[in-house]
Amino acid sequence: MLKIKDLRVSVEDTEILKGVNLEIKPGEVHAIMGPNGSGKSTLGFVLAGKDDYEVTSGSVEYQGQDLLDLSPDERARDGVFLGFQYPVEIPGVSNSNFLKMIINSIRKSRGQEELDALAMLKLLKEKLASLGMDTNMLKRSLNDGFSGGEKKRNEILQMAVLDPKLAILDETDSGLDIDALKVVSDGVNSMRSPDRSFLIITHYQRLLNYIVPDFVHVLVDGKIVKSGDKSLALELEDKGYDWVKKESSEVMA
Amino acid sequence: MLPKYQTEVPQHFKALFDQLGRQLNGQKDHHFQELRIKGGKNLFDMGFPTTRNEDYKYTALGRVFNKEYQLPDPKQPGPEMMEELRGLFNSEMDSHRICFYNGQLVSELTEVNEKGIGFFRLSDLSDEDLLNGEVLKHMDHTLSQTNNPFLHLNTALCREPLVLVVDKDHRASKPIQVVYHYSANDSDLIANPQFFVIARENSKFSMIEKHTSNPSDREVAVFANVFQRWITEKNANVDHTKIQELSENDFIIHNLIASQEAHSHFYALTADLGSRITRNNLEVHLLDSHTQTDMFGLFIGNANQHIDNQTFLDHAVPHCESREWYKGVLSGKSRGVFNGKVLVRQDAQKTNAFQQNNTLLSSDHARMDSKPQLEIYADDVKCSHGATIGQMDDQILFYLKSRGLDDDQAGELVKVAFLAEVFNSMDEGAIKNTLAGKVLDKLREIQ
Repeated sequence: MLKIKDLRVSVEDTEILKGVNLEIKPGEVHAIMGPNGSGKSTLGFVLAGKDDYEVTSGSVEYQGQDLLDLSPDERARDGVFLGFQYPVEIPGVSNSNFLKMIINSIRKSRGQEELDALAMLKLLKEKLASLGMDTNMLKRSLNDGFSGGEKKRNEILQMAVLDPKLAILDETDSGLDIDALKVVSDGVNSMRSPDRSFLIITHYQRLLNYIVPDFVHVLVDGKIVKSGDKSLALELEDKGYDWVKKESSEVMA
Repeated sequence: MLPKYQTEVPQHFKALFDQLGRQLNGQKDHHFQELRIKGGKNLFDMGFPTTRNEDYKYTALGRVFNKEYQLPDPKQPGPEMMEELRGLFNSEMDSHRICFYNGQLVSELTEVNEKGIGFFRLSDLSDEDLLNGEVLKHMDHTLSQTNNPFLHLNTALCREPLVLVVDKDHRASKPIQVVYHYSANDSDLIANPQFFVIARENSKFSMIEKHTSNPSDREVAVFANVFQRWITEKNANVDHTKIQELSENDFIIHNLIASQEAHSHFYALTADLGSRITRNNLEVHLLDSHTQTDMFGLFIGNANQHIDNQTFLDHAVPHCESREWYKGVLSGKSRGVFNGKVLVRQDAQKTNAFQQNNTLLSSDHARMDSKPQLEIYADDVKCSHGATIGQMDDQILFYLKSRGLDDDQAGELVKVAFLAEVFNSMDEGAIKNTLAGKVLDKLREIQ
């Protein structure tokens, strides 16, 4: 599904990612953990195609093609989804119109017929119900005045309607209370399938109690310094990031 | 005392004035002729403004004044043009219809048949008619008070003013659709429609007005110099939407002066999508308390378009409320100007006035000059004003593209969202849908 090889990325001449290697196979859930400023969000943005980032070396292969060659919208239409840590607010665009627009735009690009108003409403209502969300949120402006929890749920709703193959969730747990966390995790878990992969970016282990990953990687200073299974997350929770930082610097020394 | 502007009115305008005088000679001697002659005299005394004048600082009109215009042919249009004009009305809108071709009424296409709504040529009213006297008195007063030379130009070159009256307590059963179409073919054309609108006490109606011109595959230009005078009597409620879509070599100066009596509501929406140079002079005078005034504007420019909105709102009396919000998107090398003045006089206590202008520049060569002005001489008021000029937000564009929208779709969504407050100010219905469709078409065209 996704092969990242020796990926180096700079922002305004500062190197953020310093040689990341990562392979994600279909159906796998990978978690990237790491302290603040380690480059976690940068990895998410680079995979989604944000153009403030300069890839200085390395490669990213997605479903056999060079992902870095594609524009952000081409990536989205090919099945890459990024759930934002800070979703933007757009007053003046209703959530329902936005959802309709992105659904039909994706369907068109996949050679599917556009949905008519009735089929659209049915789909949206189904997805909302499955995420425990109120239909009122369709009438509101996109993320405008949404609470942190509502914004994150809206991201999961967009993910659900776009039906991606690779979902990257950037700090989806930040700012969520325990109920919202559960709704969001249930949404993700219900979408787990043998041909869909997830990359969960998080600072805390808490989310991984709900979304149990197959692999956990620790990103420190732009490099993956340790990989393991879900027990690594618990160990991190217990010992803190200083433990891996120390360990990795010892290895490097 | 009339103000003096820096440029003398070119000789060919005087020739047009004399020519129209000769054409009208022999027709029924009507008092409007006296007003017309006064208008001409005032115009030639005043002259035309240049950019050295503060109110015209950003809008050079030299290229408008220097053309040698012809007056429109007084004959009614031929059958082909009739068909074209008929097609300019939105047939899905159940409405009354008024049609102007080159600024002159097309009677065949004009249908205002509702008891409670009167539509007249001023010249059809007899000198003894009270309405005739009322209109002439208002016009005379307006012209004697104004320092706007284009009102005088309009009066000097207008063949026949039109009058619309909505009677006391009458609620119009459907909107009034007004089509202004212009066509320049072999020579530059000047059109000077004059329209006097009276909303009597406790009446209610809405009007949608569209300006279009023949396609721009021609060397010659249209100069439309429109003058409308609106009287909104006690407790009247009027709603006026103007959509301007002239071809890209044409000029329009649209002058609208409204006055409001107690408890009246005047809503004006000015949408400019076309033309080479547009100048809107919108003035509202509050004569009594508890009025509501809404001035909304929407402008979309591309290529070399120049769109200048000049507004003046005179809060002369207490307890009145006004909202003014102009929003625009400029691309290409287009230029926009907003010069909005809200005057809150010493007596106008408890005024509630809001003024805002926001512009989105979607190209590096577009330019906006914005000057929101609030002059307050009363001490117990609630007033705010502001202006922003910004560019497309890359964070928002990336978010939209990450959901699969391409550059054009994402850009369009951001622009539509940007204009939302203007649309939100409109009632749901055919007028709003018409405008929304035209705005979307224009946004797609300029991508």
